[in-house]
Amino acid sequence: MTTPPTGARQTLTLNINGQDRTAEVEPRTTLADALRDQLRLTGTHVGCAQGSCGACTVLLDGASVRSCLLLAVQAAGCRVETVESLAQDGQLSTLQQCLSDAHGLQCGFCTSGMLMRATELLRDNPAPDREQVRDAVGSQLCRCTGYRFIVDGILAAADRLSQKGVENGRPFAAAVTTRTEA
Amino acid sequence: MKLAPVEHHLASTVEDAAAALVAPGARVLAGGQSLIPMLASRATACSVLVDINRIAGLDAVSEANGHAIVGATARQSAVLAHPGLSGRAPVLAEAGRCVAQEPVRNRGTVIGSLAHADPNAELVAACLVLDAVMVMHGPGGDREASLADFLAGPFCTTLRPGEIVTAVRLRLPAQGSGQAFVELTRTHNSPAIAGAAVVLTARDGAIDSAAVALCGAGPAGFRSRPAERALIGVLLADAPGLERAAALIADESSPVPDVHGSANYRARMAVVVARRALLTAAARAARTKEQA
Repeated sequence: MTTPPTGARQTLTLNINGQDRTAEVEPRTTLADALRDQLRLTGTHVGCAQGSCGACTVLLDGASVRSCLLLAVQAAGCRVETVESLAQDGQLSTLQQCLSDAHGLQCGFCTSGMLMRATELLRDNPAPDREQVRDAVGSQLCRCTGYRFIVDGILAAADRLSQKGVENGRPFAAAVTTRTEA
Repeated sequence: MKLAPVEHHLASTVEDAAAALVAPGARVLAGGQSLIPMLASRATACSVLVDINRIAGLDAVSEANGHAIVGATARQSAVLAHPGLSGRAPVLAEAGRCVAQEPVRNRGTVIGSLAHADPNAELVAACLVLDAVMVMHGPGGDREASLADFLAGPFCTTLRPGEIVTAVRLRLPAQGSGQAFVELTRTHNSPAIAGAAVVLTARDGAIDSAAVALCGAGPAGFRSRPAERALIGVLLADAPGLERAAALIADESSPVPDVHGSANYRARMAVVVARRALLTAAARAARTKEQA
């Protein structure tokens, strides 16, 4: 790989939510900033910019990471999944709908990070117990809800997904539900 | 805050990385979980980030002859989940689960934590009781140093210009050892106020070897030799004997105060966590004996 001169902008190709996207970034541009400013995927939020709060959490090759602590150039060749991958054709995913139904969000700032952590959890462990869900979302700071409804929502989603199974040949995170099913 | 302009060099080999590190202001970028926030907050600056994440084989974790070798880019979450390591050296996983949060551990490396040399680092304490040896490559060739000799103070190491840590070698404790890591934090997984790592072996119910290391109790993590000497011969069931050994740590503690704990509080809590870790490790050693 050719390294450009100091700090210079480069055109970077990233695989975001299954699509190859290009962004003009400097080496110092974090993945969070590239997603938000260059790719206009503003579902990923920047809270503390230090890796503590987790609002910026995305999945990199299936594992949750702090996108504010990753340089965009480091994500080259990896699969990046953001919260924008959850809803399909404007319909909330089961996980999103259950979180909403459980009142698991108020200001919504932490929500995208919570959803990505929950997505990762439910892929690895489709039937978590309460402690396991608490352990997963414990990496994410929420100042509004007190966490209980977030945990309730994720458990409800796990329950509903186990009933619905896989839809349209896609893993559960893309499973679709509509308000009329509530 | 955002990072200042910086060059990014993606190293293809260890030699390539070491050569790039000779440039003034060059820093290694591995997990970046400590470095990037420091750069973003402008607490530190560097000219070029030497990215070692794509060097083939540098993330290897292997075991042989009673030792484990953990490569420079082995992610903390991978090391914690390694079946051999968690079986023979559970103190590493117990300490590792206390580090930051899982998304941070998915990128952060074990060696990164050791090289960052935070006085409060849990992994430093765990690696100290595993007699960790740092393996380094640099302009002068390869060299090794014990972790104790590698640590020089708060966020300081004896790494020389142009050198890069390529691996850490850990001694796997004997079967039947009792191991424990206990720390005190303000909230779940916030930085350690004080932490203690312990590995005990016993014969006929009496301790015949002991390793006790502290974090948060000094300018760097350290082994408490007085406590270790005092433990020899103490019965696993002798709680007062274990507590007396823990109490010796008070004289050795010279904590660096910060927002998470004052020096005085850390010093007092170092004794508390050491006591708890000793009692837990002793109980585990006793249980292993019963099961054997």
